[in-house]
Amino acid sequence: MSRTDVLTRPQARDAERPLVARTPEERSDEAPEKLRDEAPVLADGTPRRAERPCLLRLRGVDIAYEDGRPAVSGIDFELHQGESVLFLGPSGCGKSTVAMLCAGLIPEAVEAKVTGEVVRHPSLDAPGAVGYVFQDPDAQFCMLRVDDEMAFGLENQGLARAEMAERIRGSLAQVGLAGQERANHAVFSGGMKQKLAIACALAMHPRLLILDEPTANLDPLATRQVFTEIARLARAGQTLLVIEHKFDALLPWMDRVVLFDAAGRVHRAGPTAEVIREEWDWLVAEGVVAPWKARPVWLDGSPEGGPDAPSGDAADTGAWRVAEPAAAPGAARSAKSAASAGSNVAEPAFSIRNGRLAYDGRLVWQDVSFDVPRGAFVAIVGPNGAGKSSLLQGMAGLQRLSGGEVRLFEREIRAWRPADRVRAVSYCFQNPEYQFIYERVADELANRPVGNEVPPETMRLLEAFGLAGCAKQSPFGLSQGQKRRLSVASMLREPHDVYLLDEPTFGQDARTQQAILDRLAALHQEGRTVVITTHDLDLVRRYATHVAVVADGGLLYWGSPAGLWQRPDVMAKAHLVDDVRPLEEGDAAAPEPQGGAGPAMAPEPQGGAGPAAARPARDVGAGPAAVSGAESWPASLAAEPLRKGLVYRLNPPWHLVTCVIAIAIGIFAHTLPEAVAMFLWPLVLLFGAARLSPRRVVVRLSPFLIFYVLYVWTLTAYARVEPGTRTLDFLWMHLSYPGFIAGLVLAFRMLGAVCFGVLFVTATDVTDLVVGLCQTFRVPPKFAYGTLAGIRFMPLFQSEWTKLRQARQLRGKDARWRALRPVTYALPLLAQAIRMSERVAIAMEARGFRGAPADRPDGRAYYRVVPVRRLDFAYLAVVCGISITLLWCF
Amino acid sequence: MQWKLRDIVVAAILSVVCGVVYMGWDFFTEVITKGWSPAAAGIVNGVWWIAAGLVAYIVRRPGAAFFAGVVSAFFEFAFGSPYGTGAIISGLVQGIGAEAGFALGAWKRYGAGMMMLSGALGGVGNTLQWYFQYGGNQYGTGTILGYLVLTLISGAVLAGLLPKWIADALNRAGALRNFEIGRQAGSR
Repeated sequence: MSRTDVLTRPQARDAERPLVARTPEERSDEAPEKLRDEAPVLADGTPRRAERPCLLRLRGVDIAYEDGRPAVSGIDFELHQGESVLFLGPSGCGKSTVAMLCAGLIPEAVEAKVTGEVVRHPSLDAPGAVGYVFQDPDAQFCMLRVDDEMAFGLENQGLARAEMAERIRGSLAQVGLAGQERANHAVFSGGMKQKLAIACALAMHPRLLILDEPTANLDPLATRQVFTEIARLARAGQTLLVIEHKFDALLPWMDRVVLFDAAGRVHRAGPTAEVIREEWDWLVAEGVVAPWKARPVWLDGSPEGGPDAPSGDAADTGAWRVAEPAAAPGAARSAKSAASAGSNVAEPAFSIRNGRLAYDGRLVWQDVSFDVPRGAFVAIVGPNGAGKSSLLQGMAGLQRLSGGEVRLFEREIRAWRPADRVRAVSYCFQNPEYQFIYERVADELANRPVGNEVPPETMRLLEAFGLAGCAKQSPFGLSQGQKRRLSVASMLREPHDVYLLDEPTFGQDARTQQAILDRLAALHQEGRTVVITTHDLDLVRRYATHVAVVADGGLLYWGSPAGLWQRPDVMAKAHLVDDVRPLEEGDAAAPEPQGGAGPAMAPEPQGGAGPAAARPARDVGAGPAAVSGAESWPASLAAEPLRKGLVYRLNPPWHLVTCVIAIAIGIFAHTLPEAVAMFLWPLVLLFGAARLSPRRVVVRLSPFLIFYVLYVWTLTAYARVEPGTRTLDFLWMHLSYPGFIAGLVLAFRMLGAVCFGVLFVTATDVTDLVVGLCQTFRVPPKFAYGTLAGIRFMPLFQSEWTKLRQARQLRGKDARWRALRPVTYALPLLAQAIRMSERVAIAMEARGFRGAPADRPDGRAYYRVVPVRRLDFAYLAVVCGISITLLWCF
Repeated sequence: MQWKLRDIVVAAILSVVCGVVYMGWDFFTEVITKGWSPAAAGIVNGVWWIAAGLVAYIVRRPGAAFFAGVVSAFFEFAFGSPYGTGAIISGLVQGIGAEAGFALGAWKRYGAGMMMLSGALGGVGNTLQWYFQYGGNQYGTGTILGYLVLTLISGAVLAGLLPKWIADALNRAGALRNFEIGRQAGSR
């Protein structure tokens, strides 16, 4: 094995993982010049970058978007098979644009004007020849179950159905998700979702795999899992194109680097070590790398950086970020305030006692007690799903704790008047879009529509945050960095005592991070209390006076940052530095085929997704049971009903047709006996063909009863009656017996329609319906699968709704009446849905869903077979025949 | 004009959202209107084919109104509408009505007048279904005519002008620049 890596601070080693620390002499061998020779080798021992076919060549390529957004110009780039290339550049510089051109997504899926010479190897044009993994884990899936999701790409490739199961199983095992075929990926953690996205791409055996900021939304542990996977792929000789901001740990695995400048031009391209070493200052100047970051440790193997180097030497050890807190602006005070954290010199800003939080009976954390002194700069760190944001929301009074109390300035948080609380506490959401409630940047910043007369104080804020040119733009149309600056700026508009920020620097480039942190540091200097959640320990080290580590269902640490660096056990347990710790030899080894995934690869279900999240992971550990289950399903996949009963075997589209015809027949029921018969017949089917228990039927039907009572009333009171019929006149109503009967007829008819509806919904798997529409009714797959992709978003709306409500409350802009909320939330909610569906559509096209596989039902292979049998027609004939007979008889 | 995949996904998503709205509207309107006057119930009807106008106005493709009408009605049904499978029939007839309006403009005109026409035609489909399936034939001629007129007005306003307003607001917010509505506004 040619590669070992170094840990500069032995304390922070992950206890479970064996490590090889190098002596300083060995380290100096790892000089950049030698790195090329040491590059990972293929299994057969051949060096990676031999003279291999050129897959892609760009010469003088310009790309301009239709809406005039700035893109790239004069791009020269070549990609050879088996190479791994890293794209670096400030955010918004066009890295993704070039990657999408390489993938063939531009100009087809994403409209843009491309000029210059683009030569693509013909093998890249087949569906799935280029795998693309996007940054948003929620916006790249279009099916509901893991196996369907992976099969989607294989279907586009037209792979024989018999081979699909094997491919799926193999790729899942590769990324450490073995045995998860039947899981619903909506409950996966962000890291698992990204690994699934990689598995989906790998299953298609892509010639080129593109990873576009795959870890942008992940916590350190999940980031590490994805990096490990990338390293493994690079070793295995997969052609890779990677875009990544947190690139340190990846550098040893990348053959070449391409640097983009802010104007969208290639600044430099070349071998990784050489380019990074020589261009480090340029990277800092362009805002790609934060100025406080030290060079990656393996670039300049200076002997002082060895394992036993003095800890205070931030220049070397800081490379790996687990250096001790250096003298940062806030840290000067840290020792003193940390010491006083318990003893309480001044009145604390926050005081939390025995805090406990549980969702749906699942414990998030408990026994959380700490005091935040006034003027502290607190960082809350810990893995995703550990409850950092919930803790912050609890402190803002947005989230009611399940137990314990939160006191703000010695007063129970919920006892504050909302208006006073909003004045005292400012809160900034992780997703800036939640906070925007106006259509123009200037209005947003002024918190009222200002028209063309932008007030001077708003103008000053705009300038301070580099937004002066965007005053009249829509906040939603800004770049990610601008959105974040705007949300922070609007939060700083009025002075508050306490500032709470959820991941203020997440996913931002170095320059935006710096602008935000400068502001926070200034607030802290003024003596205000600042509390943030973050994954960035560099930031903690430089700015925080106090750190709270939330993980494993409790508060693992509370105190000064310096103290935290003395507690490697805590840092390991909370996976605080997993993303920056160098990848190790063992990490990149191929995982064992079944169930043998190493600790770093084991799926980590994480909180936040509810109790169901724990299930899939347990399946993996279940060993033989899970494996045999996984092996037995392919044969039975097609049609074996999960439940007993006739209706579960029906072809869903034909079943739907049957139900619609049956209720259309029901329209002809005009007498009470006919109508009752139209209700009883589907009821019989519910009991007999769907095997529902009477109790379940009653439960399902009960919500509709009030509804029908009203129908009966309406017709009783207003029906047209023959002259001479006795009516009871009351105000403008005239109650009549014939009207009452007509009402009952209508009510029973509608109840019949509901019964058929319950029957269909109970019997039908939505994926089968969609696939059946393509296979049976020849619906173009584009429409069927596109609709299914849209359905997937439904569950997301609830969480978006909650966030919107909180954001508006904080701005003091919540709808005065609860009932008006839907009106005020509609636009932001819809805008969010539209943005996500655009991303999903691009992700689907990236998996080969274009041309024949998308347009023609017979242009793709199918993983599921939804057959039409004689049974379906017999069922249609019997159900409709009996309905007609019943009408006849009564 | 070919449908882009993103047009379809957006149409689906908006239809799903509208399906939820319809379901809530099923129960809400029942309480506030039906008990008072059957004809007056017509005034709230337009909401039930809002998806047809909204989606057609955004993606501007033949068949968009019909697709959205049916898909949104299907989801109304699937989420547990008291109209059961009848909701799907509503989606079909209202979608056909709204689509007929846009067809009259050869799917090229999407001004306020066209939106109102399309919304009103959706109301024709609604009234037909009401007459045959939901007891409309049990009422006097005056009530039936009143229902028809109110439904047409409601359709023109709630299923024509309201979705136009919503989509224009979304477009102003920059969310729709990659769709036909955003392109056409940009080229003007």
